[in-house]
Amino acid sequence: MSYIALNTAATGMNACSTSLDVIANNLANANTTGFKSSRANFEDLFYQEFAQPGIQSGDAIQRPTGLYVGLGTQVSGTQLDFRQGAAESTGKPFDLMIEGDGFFQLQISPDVGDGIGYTRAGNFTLNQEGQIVLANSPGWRLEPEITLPEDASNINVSQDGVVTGNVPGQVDPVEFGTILLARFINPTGLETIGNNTYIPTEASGEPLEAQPDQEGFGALRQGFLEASNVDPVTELVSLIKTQRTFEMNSQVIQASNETLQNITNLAIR
Amino acid sequence: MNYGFHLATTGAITGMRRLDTVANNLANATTVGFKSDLLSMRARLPENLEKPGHYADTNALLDGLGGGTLFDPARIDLRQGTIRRTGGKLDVAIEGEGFLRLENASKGAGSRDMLLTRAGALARGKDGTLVLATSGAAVLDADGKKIQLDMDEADVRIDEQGRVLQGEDEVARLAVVVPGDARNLVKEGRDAMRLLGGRVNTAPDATIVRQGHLEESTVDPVLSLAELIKVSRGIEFATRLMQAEDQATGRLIQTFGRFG
Repeated sequence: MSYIALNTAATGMNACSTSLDVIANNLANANTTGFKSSRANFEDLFYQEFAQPGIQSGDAIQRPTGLYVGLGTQVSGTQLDFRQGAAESTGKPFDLMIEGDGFFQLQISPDVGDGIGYTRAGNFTLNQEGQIVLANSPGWRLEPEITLPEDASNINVSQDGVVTGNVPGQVDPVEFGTILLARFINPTGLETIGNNTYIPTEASGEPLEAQPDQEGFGALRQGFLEASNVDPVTELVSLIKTQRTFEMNSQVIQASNETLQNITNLAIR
Repeated sequence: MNYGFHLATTGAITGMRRLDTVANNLANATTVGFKSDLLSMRARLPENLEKPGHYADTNALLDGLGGGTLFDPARIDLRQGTIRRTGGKLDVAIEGEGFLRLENASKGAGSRDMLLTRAGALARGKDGTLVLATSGAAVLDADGKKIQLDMDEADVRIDEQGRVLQGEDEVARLAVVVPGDARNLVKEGRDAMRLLGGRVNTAPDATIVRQGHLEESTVDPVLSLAELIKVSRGIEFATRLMQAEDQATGRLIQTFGRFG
């Protein structure tokens, strides 16, 4: 029945509108530090069988395959793209960029996940207690915590995450702590919780922790920030394509509507 | 009842099924690796000729009229889709003949049927196996086994022959197979096609696996919209014919029904 066509076209429009939402979010975050773009993955829905394969049609012809009508499409999920974003030089001591694999670990609310959030955004700063925190709206502390004395100067973060600086009265730089990174087998399985932060899920696997620049982890670059990896050109092309697909599906709705109208009019004399 | 009424009805019924197929194609116009369905129709023979000897009394005039329209089995248009660069490490597109093999885990797990796909958006499963990013079905290697990636190694390279490499080591080789008879392919949904009987050959050397690319849906918007217009007008025609036949019957009753 053309009810199927009507519903099928609706699934197409639905999926396109989800895809538009994803693209809109990507474009809105084209300037967000450490942002990773997502894409909506489409898959076809199930197929309804109208004639089984192998049955005989009227004139004794065996059908190797039957008559199947598909029931539309759906967005199976959004897939994060963890490609490296461009490096932006800022020169600030607490701006850190991971060149390669890995996430900074943050102490987020203990109610969310296992209390640790993971981010690629490295725009850190100090809070009033001298702890290194992320300069986003909640101001989450870095995990493991690193506290700097009030009078520390010449802060240096090495490639492998060791934070050092000068304190008055000492000639040699003092070590304040080491920044550890975490990595996931399947980072695309991470859950986005906003504020540039991800939490692990079943699909992402357990976090593996290590020092930067070791065991396949990326190196830290002080004075740089990782720009958003959204490519506006690709996003705009997808935007156009998605919008047009949406329109085409609405044409199918119109056609099935007219068909249904023709059929309803059949009995009207 | 009028013979023509039934002929027009078959036209309306087949037309609606075609409309459903166009709708599904257009809904999947942006589904990676989707192959459009073709629904072809043919003239149906009169029942007397379809089943010879079944009816004792036949009418030579009606036998000449035919029996309306009938579906041919749905076919899948296996044309190559456009290959788009995505840059994703686990995105693969097959250029040329061939399909990736998926684990046949759900229904018919014990049968020889094979699940095949052209949708090459892959991902790492939570246990480190290579899976389809959409449905999560495991992708199989040339020996029909799941592909286990090294968890500590972030980098994955897939070369043109489908070899999966991590560092210098070859982890596995993606199964790229060509169905023995493409007519045995049945759409399964969730990006998979079921190959009944599961007879496959290895892909020819000309087939290339392209990492960092995805194959677009083969749905042609122009053709699909033209088909949409054609089909909906066809149904309109059929329903008008049904109305005309109905009116003729009505007149017949009015004219000859005036007894007494």
